Amino acid sequence: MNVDNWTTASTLLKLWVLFTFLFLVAPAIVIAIGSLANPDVHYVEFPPRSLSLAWFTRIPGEFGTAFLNSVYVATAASIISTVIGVLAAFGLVRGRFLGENFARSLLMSPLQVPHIVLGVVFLQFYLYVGSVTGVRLLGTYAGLIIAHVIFTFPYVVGTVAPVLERFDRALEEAAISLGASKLSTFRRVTVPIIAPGIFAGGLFAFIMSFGDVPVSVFIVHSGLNTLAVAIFQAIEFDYSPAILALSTLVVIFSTIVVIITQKVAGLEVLAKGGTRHAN
Amino acid sequence: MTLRWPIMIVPAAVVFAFFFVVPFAIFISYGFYEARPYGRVGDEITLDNFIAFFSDRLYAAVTLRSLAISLKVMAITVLIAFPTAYFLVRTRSKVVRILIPLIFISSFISVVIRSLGWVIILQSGGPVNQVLQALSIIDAPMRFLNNEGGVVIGIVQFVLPLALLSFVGILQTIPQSYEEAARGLGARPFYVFLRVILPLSAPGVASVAIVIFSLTMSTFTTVVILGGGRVLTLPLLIYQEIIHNVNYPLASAISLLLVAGVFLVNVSFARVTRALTPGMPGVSR
Repeated sequence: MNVDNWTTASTLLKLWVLFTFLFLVAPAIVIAIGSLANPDVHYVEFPPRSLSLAWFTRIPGEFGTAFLNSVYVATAASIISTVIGVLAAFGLVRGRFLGENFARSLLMSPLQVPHIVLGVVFLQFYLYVGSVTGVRLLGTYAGLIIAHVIFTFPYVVGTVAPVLERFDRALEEAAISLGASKLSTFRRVTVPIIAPGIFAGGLFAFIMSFGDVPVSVFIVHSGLNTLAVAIFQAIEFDYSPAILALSTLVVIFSTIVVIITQKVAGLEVLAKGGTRHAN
Repeated sequence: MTLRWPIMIVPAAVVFAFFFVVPFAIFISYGFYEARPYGRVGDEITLDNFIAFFSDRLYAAVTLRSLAISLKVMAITVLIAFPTAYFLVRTRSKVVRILIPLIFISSFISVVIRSLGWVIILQSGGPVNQVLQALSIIDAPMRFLNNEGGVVIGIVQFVLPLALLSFVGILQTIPQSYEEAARGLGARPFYVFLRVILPLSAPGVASVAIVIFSLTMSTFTTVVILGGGRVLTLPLLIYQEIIHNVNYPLASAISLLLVAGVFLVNVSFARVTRALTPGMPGVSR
């Protein structure tokens, strides 16, 4: 059907699309506008009676720490996840071995588990480890990173494996037949082609880790909080326009991340991995 | 050469063995022990936790609520996303270049922040109520928050990017020439939709629907923020058993049932789809 003309059907369809996208972006826009509220109004009103940037200066310091913690954990978790994920993707796509399907299902299984359950699993596990070996993992960076690696890993594999599957081995064979060594071929033919996929996988892992609440909420500690959990707690206990200002900054941060990905890797790679994440 | 690739899985396998399989095993086992006060756990194997779950009316209500919300989100999301995806696939205008990145940007914003946005939009003094009152559709502010309605809206917005992108992928596989052929044979647009597009996209749409269902059953953050603690779903129940009652065995039992239930739904659905999908001529099933 021609959707670009202006018959009744296509006009209705365009309205539908408009509504859909407004629905999609409404929360972010509302938060952005709401964050420009009058500094004397201490509750959240929308639309704000006057505009000001004052609330951006009133974001409590602990959110800054939480932001840094989140960046640290997300970076560490996504790097680890990407490294073992790319290796695993190679092993699954190019290897033939007994139990291949089982391995694949096992490594992708965290996707089937609700994050709230994963959170509980890690809480119990860390308590157990703490009581049996004395090694403390609750309320530590290590504890957070490990848990985040587990649930971001399937996304890395899910993004990199399809890229590997689509990769044309003939390119490698051509390079080898022209005299290149295996290592050189890998470095100069394979890697540049799959690099966007790897980058997208790592980015995915970062975003998922950064925004996670249900897993992190069981592992954090008053001395060590993540940004997402801090905002979550603030919504319940300390709701003020400062939270909106903070959230606006996070939205800007996320937008920049997507734009960078678009430039570096193109967005189609992300579509393969899907925008499926847990909440 | 073929012997070397499998070794690449080893690092991931080791990490998973220690930090996923073992924790999960411990966790599943907790469900089979008795809960003692103050977070201690008993010594004998028992099915009490599971029995308690099935016999308590509250838990049945919570399960039904989870199911109801999941089905509503599934239906509404498919309804909204499908026509939009169709437009995105068939349009030749350049607007697609902004719309697709917009979908991604929306999905990368943390779920906490999106839910917060909905709180502002749906609150009593918020824009939705202001507009509805200005248009005289309602007299007093309608309560969208702290009830199922707000939760459903929040979750729909959350899964919408996934649905849109998946449907775009599915619809892209239907050649426009099919539609044009049907039109050329005299079919009206709606008939084309019903007899050409729908049947070809149905299996894909259905499996996306199941994914939406599964995701919604697992949703936690959105339900807490938009439900205000008044909307109890299974994930919240699990959270409460841990944080408020310190009842690890019961929390484990409920978690196990949730995971198993969602898994069963997925598996049965896959079986049903496979049985219903007509085989290709010449290919045996």
